[in-house]
Amino acid sequence: MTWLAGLIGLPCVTSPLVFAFGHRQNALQRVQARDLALLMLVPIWLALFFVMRAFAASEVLEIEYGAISLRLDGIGLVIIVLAVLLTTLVTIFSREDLIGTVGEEKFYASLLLMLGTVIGLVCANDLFNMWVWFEGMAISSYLLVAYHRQREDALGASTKYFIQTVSGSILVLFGIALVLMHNGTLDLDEMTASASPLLIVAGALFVLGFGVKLALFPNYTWLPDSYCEAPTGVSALLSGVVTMTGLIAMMRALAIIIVTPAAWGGLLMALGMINIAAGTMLAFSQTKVKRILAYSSIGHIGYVVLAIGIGISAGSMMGLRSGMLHLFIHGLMKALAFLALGGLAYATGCRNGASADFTVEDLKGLAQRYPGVALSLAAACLSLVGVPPFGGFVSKFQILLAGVQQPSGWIVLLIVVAALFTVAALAYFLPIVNTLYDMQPGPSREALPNIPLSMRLPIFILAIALVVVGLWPGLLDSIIEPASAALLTLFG
Amino acid sequence: MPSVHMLFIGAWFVLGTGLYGLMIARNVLKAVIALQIMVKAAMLMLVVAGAQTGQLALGQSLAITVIAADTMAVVIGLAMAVRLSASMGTLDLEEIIEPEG
Amino acid sequence: MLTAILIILTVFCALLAVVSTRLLHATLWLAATSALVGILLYQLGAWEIAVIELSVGAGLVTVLMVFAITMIGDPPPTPHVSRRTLLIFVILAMTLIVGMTVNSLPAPVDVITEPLGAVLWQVRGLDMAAQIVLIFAGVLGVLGLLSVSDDIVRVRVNRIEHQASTTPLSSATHTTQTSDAPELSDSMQSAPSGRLEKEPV
Repeated sequence: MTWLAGLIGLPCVTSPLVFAFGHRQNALQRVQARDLALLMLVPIWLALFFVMRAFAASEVLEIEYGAISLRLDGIGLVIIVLAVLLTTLVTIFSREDLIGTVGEEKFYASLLLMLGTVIGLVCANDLFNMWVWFEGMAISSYLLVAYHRQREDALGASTKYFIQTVSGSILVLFGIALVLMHNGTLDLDEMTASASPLLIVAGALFVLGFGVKLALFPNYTWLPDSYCEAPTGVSALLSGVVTMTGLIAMMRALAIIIVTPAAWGGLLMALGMINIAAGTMLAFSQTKVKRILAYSSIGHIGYVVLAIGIGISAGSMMGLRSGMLHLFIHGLMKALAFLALGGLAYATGCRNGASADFTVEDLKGLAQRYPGVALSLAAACLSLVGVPPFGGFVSKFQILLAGVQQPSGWIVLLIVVAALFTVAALAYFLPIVNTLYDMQPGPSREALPNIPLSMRLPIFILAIALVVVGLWPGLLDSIIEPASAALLTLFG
Repeated sequence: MPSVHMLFIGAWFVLGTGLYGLMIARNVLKAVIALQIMVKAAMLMLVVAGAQTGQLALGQSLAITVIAADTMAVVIGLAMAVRLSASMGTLDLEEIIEPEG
Repeated sequence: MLTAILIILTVFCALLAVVSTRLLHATLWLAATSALVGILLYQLGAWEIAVIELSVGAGLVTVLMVFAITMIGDPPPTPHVSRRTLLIFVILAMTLIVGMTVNSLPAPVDVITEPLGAVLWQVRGLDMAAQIVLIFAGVLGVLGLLSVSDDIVRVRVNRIEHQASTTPLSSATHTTQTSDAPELSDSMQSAPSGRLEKEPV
């Protein structure tokens, strides 16, 4: 219990420290914010280790104060592990990426706050408390998205992100008010689902409102701009963790409303399918690599939602499990793709947010100069398509398998279409790999500087993790199994 | 009709007005104003829900948190607007958010 | 009856706030909406939140908005976009939702008077904790967004970079170009301009 409090509290408490002592003009300042942030992550890892140990020993991890409780379950653990891992890697990666920018201490402080609010959100066992964490996560992400604020495009993208996110969270709040009106309580344990129209409207508001954060159709228009303009590390975190946290929040909120699983599962499946189609179709015409990755994120969110929709509508453990697995692996591979791309863009001189304009053509021949990082980017792209032996293959395959096992012909049809879109994704990922390994004489790459070790390290860690997960998917069972079991009890 | 029902209906229509304003907004600050109106509706609904279920203090407590969160959001929105007008010289949403691909 | 009139006034003010062409007028209508919501809350018996809504919603936010509008400079009136079909659609949608839900409101429960302070700090204590985190995040965000830097110079540098080269490779060559410009060279030294200078030619 103390460790859980530490895990939630540490990022929130250390963030002001990073801000106060990492400040450039501080007279006492002998530490850089980037080092301080990294140092602060050490106790967080320690807390995570003890929390995981207690969780494995099936202790109840719960903080209770007043009417609200924060409790760790399997679903939360998946997100927490992913969030702590990616935040650490992004903190290491951004050391060089952001050197020379103004306000680094605010960047790292916001990064830690975002980690803290994500952990708080997935643990919250109270509908309104979850909203407060959700709003906190959103507010700490605005600065991160708008960090390259000298770029007009970055400001425009973050304005779009801001307006859509706030309107989404207000709709969620309205839904929460309706739930409170109907149930008289906000505790997720004490809720009783019923077919009251009040709750159906609240559910629709939840799908719409959380759907903004999740970039679910029709509210995904903020995503490509924000992922493109945010610093590369932030794009990795947003696509890997923050959007998926929106999904978890939506699941928890919907679980107390659903009385007809088939209908709500069907809705989720339909929305997921639209997302897959939209993400894949829109990625075709893109030339900027970050934009391609962003649109592919929309598609992958669709796969996760599709899998969970199958799981809810049919009460299928397999569907939920494959959804959680894809959520985790997508976080790894999308983060790898963004970071490897960011490393290459940095080496070719795209600093201060200029990596947003990095096109596929700019990758030409980089594999000769940077074999390791280029290989990592290629691996991430192939994994995103779902080529074995990478992690993306395992999870996508399981989603398709879960769908095919369903008796309903409609679901099988959906799955066939989803599989076709998977193949179509090759069409925009193959050019990236091709250009990387293009042996045609292009601009000389010999004079380019080395990619710093602090950038290569997170890239290689993620690349190795992706291959290991692809070869031995069983390694993830210890966190995926409790998560899918918890999801099944939520909707059971 | 009891006043709680009237307030319930009123909150929905205030929300609708805010949504309409958000859809027609062409200026960042106008969008922030529309969002403010939506928050007012949500806050009103929370207190109404608290009153209807006999927990007026709970409803008020939630509304206080909402006001704090919402004020923070407004301040961020205004900061973005100030930055935008300083660097682009415009707050027109259609110019700021040019649709790309 | 009074409540009904107040609600209609609130919706009216809100509508004026979203359709008025001048930003300053819209802000004042927003303040009026806020004040009316405060009065509605007072009518409901939520006195404490009514006071806060009046002071923060109608007061502080209005001041901030007016402040921002002055900083930005009085913008020309935005062209009025009239979307009557959209308005009718929104009204119809709201009527439909209200019609669907208003009859399923639960029976009212007698209000138990609890001290707000106790509920706020003890029953909902973790909300307050999360709220403190949220406020700090907001402060960070505003500081970061508004942080006075050499951004105007940077914007210029960026534009020159953008014009000078579409390929990121030629950054070494255009470094010299930008530092030639007299108004830039001074600020380029003070501004931490990344590692542009250190790059190999």
